[in-house]
Amino acid sequence: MIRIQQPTLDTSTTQIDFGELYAQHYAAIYRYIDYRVRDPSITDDLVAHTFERAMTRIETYRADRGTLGAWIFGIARHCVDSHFQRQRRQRWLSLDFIREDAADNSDLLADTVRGETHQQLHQALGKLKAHERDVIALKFGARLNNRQIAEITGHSESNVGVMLYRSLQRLRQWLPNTGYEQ
Amino acid sequence: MIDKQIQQFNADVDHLLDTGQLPSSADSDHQALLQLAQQLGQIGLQPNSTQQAATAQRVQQLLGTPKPHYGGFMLKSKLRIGLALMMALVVATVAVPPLRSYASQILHQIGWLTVNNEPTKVEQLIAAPETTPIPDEPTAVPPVLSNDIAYEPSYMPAGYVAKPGYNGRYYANESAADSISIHVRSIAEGDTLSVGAASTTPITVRNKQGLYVEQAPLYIKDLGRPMYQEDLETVSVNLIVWEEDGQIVTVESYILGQADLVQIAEGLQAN
Repeated sequence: MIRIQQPTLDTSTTQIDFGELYAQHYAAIYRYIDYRVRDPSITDDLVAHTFERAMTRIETYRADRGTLGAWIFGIARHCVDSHFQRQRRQRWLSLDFIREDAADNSDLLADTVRGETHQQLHQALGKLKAHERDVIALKFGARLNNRQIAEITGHSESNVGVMLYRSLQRLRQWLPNTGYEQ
Repeated sequence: MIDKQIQQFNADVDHLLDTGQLPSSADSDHQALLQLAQQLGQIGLQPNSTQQAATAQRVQQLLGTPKPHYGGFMLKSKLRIGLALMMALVVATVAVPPLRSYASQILHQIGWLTVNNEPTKVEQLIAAPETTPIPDEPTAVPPVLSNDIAYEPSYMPAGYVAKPGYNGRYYANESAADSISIHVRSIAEGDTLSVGAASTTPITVRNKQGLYVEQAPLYIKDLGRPMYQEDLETVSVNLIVWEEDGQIVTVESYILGQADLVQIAEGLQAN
């Protein structure tokens, strides 16, 4: 089980052991991104980009504004959001007379889910709002506790708990014949 | 009551994620939710998966051998590169007329299609700040385009080869790094085509009023990899556009000019 340790950093000296940062957060960052994008090659690129960005911008980190874990997860979320924004752009482009590759209509999510149950689960996850999916990825992908998720997302800890509970209740309603339904 | 349920649920989920054990509960609804939570926890890759190990190797290569960095020369040189790129961006922004500096103006009306000089959607999207929440799924539904096209070109410049698999007609010239696209689209009242600062020239094509648009930034350059805000570049095309049989027809190319595009258009034969 990987939990983010609360680092004790001195704001003025900002002496950060990047190897330690990598060792502490790599697995959680990987699982979070994988949970959200569901494509190994894209996960690979986004994880690499997250740590590259963290390395080049580490001097911008300020301990008084939050933990190092929250900071690097902020970078990871930004990378994933940018990725989805680009995908969204590609769809928007067609409104501007952009040529579309007819072969590029495959459902990325459906192609990458493993197993029928997971597929149903992913389809149901797709119905949740973006911020709810993000919280679920932080909880079940990165396996963070609610306090850590609260720090990353800016919601209160109790709000995160409510969001998780209600999201799972809604997922359960959308999942037929899986034993979860009411 | 509900608060207590939520608290208990979250405590049980943490227990589940920490131990892998499903807490027992007499409440069947609660138990079903925890089973769902267990399933959600199993979706992710296992920590030692091959893919994750490969990515870890790549990240380590990217970062060099992980060792302490204390804001030393390596980081500073990277920051200098970043600063230089940022300065270049600032200079480019100042040197190029700001997108907002020209007032919206209707340039032409072709059937129901209004052509205006507002920034193209590509320009707007690139200029948009990334701070707004971004949904993971498209919220804009693209128009459904048909693979059937009502026209067949009888003239095509040398070197352009038909490429199937695209909507409309698409011809690529690999040696000239160019392509020609022919599209026929249904247009609804109020539709617009924004061409930004591209120059426009009224033309007559197939005995109809049309428009030649030169260097309209309508595309984003495909870098063949995930792109981020700072990576995005527009790509401009030349195109002619006119209305025929209630539909909007466009012929476009990266490098061909008005004369070539009109010649292709004049050679289109109705199927």
